[in-house]
Amino acid sequence: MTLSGLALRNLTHRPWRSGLTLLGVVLAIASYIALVGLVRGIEGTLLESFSARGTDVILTEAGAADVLSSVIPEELAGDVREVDGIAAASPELGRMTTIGEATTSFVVGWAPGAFSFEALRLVTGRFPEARDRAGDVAGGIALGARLAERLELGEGDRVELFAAPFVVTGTYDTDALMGRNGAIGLLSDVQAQTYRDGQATSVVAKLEDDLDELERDAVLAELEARFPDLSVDATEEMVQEYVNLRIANILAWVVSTVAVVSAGLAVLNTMAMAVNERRGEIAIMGAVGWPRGRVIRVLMLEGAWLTIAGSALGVATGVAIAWIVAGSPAVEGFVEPVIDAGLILRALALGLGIGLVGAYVPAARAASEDPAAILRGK
Amino acid sequence: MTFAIEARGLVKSFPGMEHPALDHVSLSVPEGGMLAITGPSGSGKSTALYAMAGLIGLEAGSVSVQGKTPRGRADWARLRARKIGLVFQDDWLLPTLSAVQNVEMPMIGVERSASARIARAQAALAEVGLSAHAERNPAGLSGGERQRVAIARALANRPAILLADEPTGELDTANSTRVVELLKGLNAAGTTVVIVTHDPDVAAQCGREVHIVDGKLEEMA
Ligand SMILES: Nc1ncnc2c1ncn2[C@@H]1O[C@H](COP(=O)(O)OP(=O)(O)OP(=O)(O)O)[C@@H](O)[C@H]1O
Ligand SMILES: [Mg+2]
Repeated sequence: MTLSGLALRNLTHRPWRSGLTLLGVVLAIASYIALVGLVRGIEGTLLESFSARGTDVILTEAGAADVLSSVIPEELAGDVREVDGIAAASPELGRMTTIGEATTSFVVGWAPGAFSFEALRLVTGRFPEARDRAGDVAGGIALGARLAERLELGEGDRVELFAAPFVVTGTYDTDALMGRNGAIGLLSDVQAQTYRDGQATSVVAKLEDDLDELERDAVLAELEARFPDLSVDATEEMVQEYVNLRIANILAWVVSTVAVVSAGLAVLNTMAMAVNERRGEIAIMGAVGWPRGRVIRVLMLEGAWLTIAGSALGVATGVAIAWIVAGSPAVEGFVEPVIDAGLILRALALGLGIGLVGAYVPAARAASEDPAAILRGK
Repeated sequence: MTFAIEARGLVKSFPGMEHPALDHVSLSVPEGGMLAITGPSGSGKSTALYAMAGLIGLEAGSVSVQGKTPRGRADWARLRARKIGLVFQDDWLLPTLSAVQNVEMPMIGVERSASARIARAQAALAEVGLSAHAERNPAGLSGGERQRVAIARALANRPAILLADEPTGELDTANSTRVVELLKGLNAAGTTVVIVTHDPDVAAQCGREVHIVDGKLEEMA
C-alpha cells in the first residue's frame, strides 16, 4: 500500500461524491479550453484575413463599431494612393450575407485589378469581370475553395446572392480561413446589389516594401493627418481593437473564470466534507505516529487524483466542444479553434492548482486538530 | 532505574470544568510492567493515558519515555511510530483498507520495504489469531475481530510500550477475555502495558492498579 494508493481508495470508496466533483472539474477545464481556444481562433481568423492578403493599412469610417458598419466613398482610394510610401490602395465593400445555403458568408467587392487579387491562388476558372453582368445575371462571383466545396458549386454554376442570380466564374484558395469560406465579386456588382453605389466599407492599402518602422509610422501619421474623418489602422492593431472580439474575449474570460472558481469551490467542499467525515481516520493517522505533513499529503493526493483525472477529461471534452461549435452551421468557416500545447498545459496546471488548494485548506485544518478529543470515544 | 514511562506533575484542564482533568498526576511505569488505571467515568483516565503518548498538550508537568523527554509534536510522532503502540475503545480502522493494510499503516515511513511491511503485518495478524481474515475489510469483521486488528496495528512496529484505553469496553466477555489474554501475553514477552479499564476483573489481572478520582491519582494496594 502506498500513500497515493490510499488516496485513490478513499476516492473510489465514495463514487458518487467523487464522480460529481470530477464532473465539476471536467466542466470547468472544458469550458476554459473551449472558450479560450475559440476566441483565439476568431482572433487568428481576423488577423490572417488581413495579413494573408498583403494588407498593411485599413481606412474606415471614423467611429464605426467595426469594418462592416463603416461607409466611405470609394474615390478615397485614389487620394490614399497619392500619399508617399503607399504602394497600392483599393476600395473594398464587404457584406455578411447568405450565399445559396451558406448563411453568414463574407462577400467582398473588389475593383478590377485591385492588389488584393495577387494574394489569392486561382484553383479553377477566373476572377469576375465586368462582362459577367449580362442578361438576367447580376454579376460574376469567385468562391473560396472551402465554400465551393461546402456548397458543391463550381465554375459556370449559378448561385443566389443578394437575392439576385450570380454566376460562379471560378474558385480560389488562400491561407486565410475566412477567405477560403468567402466569396469575391466585382465592386460595381456588389454596390449595385446592395444599394451602395459609389460606396465602400474600407480602403485597404499596401505600404512600400522597403520602409522601416519609423517610416511606417510616418506614413500612418500622414494618412491620419490627411483623412481626419477616417480611422487609420495598421491591420494588426485593428484586430486587437475589434469590438466584437473584445466582447468575446471578456466573455470567455468571465465564463471560464466563473467555471474555474466554482470548480475550485466544489473541490474545496468535497474535500471539506470528506475530511470532516474522516476526522477519526485522520486522528488515528496521527496516533500511530504519522507526522502532520504526511497526513496532509494523503489528503492532498486525493485532491490531486481527482483534479488530474478531471483536467485530462476536461481538456479532451473542451477540444471536442470547440471543434463541434466551430463546425456548427451558424459559424462554420469563421473559426478554427486554436488549442496549442501551451493552452493545454495551462488548463492542466489550473486544474491541478484547484485540486491542491482545495485539498490543502481542509487538510491542514484537520491535521492540526487535537487527535485525543476525537479518539476518546465515539 | 529507567522507567518505560515517567509522568511528573501532569496538569490539564478543559474549559468549563470545576476541577482539572489532571491535577498534578505523577506516575512511573517500570520497563516490562503491566499497569491498570481505574476510576469513575470522567475522572481523567483517558486524559492521563493520552498525555503519556503526547496526544494532549499539558499546562504543567512532563512525560519521559525510556528516560528521554520528547520536545514538540514531531518528536512525539516519531516516538509513537517506533516505541508506543495505542489501542482505543473504538477500533478506528480505516474502512477503505483491508485488515492487513490497516496493520501496515503505522509502518509506512518506518519500514521502507513494502514486502517487509506486508510480512510484518501478516505476522502481527497471526499474533492476534486473524491470519485467515487478512484480506477482509473492517466491515466484514466482528467487533472483537476488529479490536484484535487494532491491537495488531498497535504492535506493527514492535513497540516497547502499549497503551490501551478501555480496549475491552465494546466487547462481550468471551472477546474481552481473549483481548486481555493477548495483552498479558505481550507483557510476558517484555512489552510494557498500561490499560485504562472499568472492569475490576481486568484490573485484577494486571500487576499493579492506580485509581484516578477527579483528576487525582491514588495508588491501590
Ligand atoms: N477534549 C475535551 N474537551 C473538553 N473536555 C474534555 C475533553 N477531554 C476530556 N474532557 C473532560 O475531562 C474529563 C476527563 O475526561 P476523560 O476522558 O479523561 O475521562 P475518563 O476517566 O476517561 O472517563 P470515561 O471512563 O468515561 O472514559 C471529563 O470531565 C471530560 O468531560
Ligand atoms: Mg475514557
